[in-house]
Amino acid sequence: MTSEPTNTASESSRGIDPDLIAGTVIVLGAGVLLTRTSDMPGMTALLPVTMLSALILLGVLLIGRCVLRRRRQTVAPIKVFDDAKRFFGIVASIAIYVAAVALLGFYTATAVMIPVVAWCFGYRSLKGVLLADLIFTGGIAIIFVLLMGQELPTEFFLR
Amino acid sequence: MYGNLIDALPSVLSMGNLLAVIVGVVAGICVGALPGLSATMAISVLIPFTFGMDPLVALGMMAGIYNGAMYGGSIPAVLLRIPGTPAAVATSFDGYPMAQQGRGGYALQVAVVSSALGGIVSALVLMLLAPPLAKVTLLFGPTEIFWVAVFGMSAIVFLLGGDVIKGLISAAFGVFVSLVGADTITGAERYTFGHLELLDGINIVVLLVGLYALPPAIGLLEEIRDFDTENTGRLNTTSIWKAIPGMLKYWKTWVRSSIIGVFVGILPGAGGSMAAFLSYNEARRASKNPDDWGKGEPEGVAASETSNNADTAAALIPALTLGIPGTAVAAVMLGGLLIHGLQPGPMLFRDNPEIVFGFMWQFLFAAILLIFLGGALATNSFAQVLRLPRPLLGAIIISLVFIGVYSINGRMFDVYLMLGFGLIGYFMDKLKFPLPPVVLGLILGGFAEQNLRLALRIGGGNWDILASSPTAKVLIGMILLVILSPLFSRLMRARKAKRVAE
Repeated sequence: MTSEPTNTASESSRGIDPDLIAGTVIVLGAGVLLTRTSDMPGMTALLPVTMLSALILLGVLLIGRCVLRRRRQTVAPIKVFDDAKRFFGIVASIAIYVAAVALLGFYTATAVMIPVVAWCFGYRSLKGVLLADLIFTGGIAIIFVLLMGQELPTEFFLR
Repeated sequence: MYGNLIDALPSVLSMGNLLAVIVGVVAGICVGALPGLSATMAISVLIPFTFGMDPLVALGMMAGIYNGAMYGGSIPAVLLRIPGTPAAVATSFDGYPMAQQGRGGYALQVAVVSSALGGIVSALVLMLLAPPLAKVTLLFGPTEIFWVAVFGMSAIVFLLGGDVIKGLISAAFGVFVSLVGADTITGAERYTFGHLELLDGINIVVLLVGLYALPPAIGLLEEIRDFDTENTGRLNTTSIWKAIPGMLKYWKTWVRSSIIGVFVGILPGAGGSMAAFLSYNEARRASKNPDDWGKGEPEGVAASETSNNADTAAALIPALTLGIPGTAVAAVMLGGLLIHGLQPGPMLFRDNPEIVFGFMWQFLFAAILLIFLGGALATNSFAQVLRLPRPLLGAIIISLVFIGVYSINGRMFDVYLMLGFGLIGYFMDKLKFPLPPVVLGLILGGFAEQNLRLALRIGGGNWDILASSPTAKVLIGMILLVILSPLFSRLMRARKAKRVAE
């Protein structure tokens, strides 16, 4: 059944369909990984070859479906981001936090990350942020250092 | 057969294990009450913290979280019309109108009593059905186990509904991840890229936390909106013990919804939301006043909540006996069993009866505890969870996720890997690629491969051995049925629609 293209569908179809990008990434990624099976013993390579070939085939089907959808303009592509800047800000924050843990130590990085991230992403109560930070970081320290004796990345001033 | 069940009871009744269930239920209700967070996410975050714990304490917490979260999802569904978990969507149909009429407290009490009853029935069915089923599956050889694994993956892809191509891609990706590391038979390296950390393969917890815990944390930070929590302050709740006699008139709905919930739970691929919708529709159909539904009918809340909790323990029947998790939560729980060195499947019942049967008791206790923990005072307190600032919660979850993954082996490599899976999980979620097939692929991929190779070795390299036994033929038939049935039902629907149009 073909329906008249909706406004949303025709407006959104100007951009690249995220499924098309996903399909292309899958085909290329699986293709590259498939080349690495050549130096594996026969039975070791059996399942990797099967799965990667299946991924390539399914990726091609996904791309084909996107092309057909675009031609027919029946369904609007999926919207990935509500606010792309905010998403990349979050990813950058997580990456900086992980790097900071490795460089500065877990407790220092966490004590800084929680108030900064909560503040930057919309929780603007200084008292609330600091109290939560103290309770969380302090609580984790009590559980991991005193009760469990579990080591987390050491603080830079203790190395 | 059931002697082990009684033997397991004393250890479950120890103070530590009971406390674990209580903590789990309370944590589960809080997590379920927060829109965007789910039982799957909470259990994923919890698993790494349970490494040093006694397996029963860890499993008790998981059972508690699962049961608690299924009820907790009803709190925002009733108060804000925002389901805390996908399974609570149907609860909002009548729960929210009740809250608008000033009967929010009663709606939550109906929800908690119905959830507890559904959970109790589900736990009893698990206790009754799992042991005999496990005994039957003990007779399976490598060929049958291979087909069972294929059946599990096909069921979750084809019965889950939605996009089959994306479901298959998810499953293939999961199987591929299971192949990373040294081949257990030949010792050859597969996709380790020279990293020694990958030789033992990818730890399931790293994948679970990445896929299920990081994307919700990103989601909490992404959302700019704040919930209008005005309704949560005035619930007009009376004592739950005074309210229960007035609810007894819903007994038919409780029975019907429990049966539906258990049945849907056992089916791999179906989940709590499907159970809740089916029960709601059936209860409405059987009602004398169907026109009042959707306008604040407590029976609608009872139907939905009974079945979404009746689905919980039942979903573990295929998971514990065959090693096939039917839902995402069951898959995550299997991950929890695996990190404690417990391989799900028939051998689990033979080798660790005190743990597997203890786990069943814990499900039962968690369901009973719901009534005590979801009383009047508690319901008012849990409703306050909605006031927690979401950016703060997001930041805390990111830190918890880090601790959890780092603690597995004490190395940053796992954290980097988890971040990678987190991003993949985020985009998969946004592009509507189902996540449960990935987890199932990771759990069953290696399992299927090992048994396939073992079967081929037994058969001297002859592929015919895969279809030689009658059980294998039945399993192949079931796989074909699972694959073809959605296609068949779509054809039937199209033909019916054409007939109606004519």
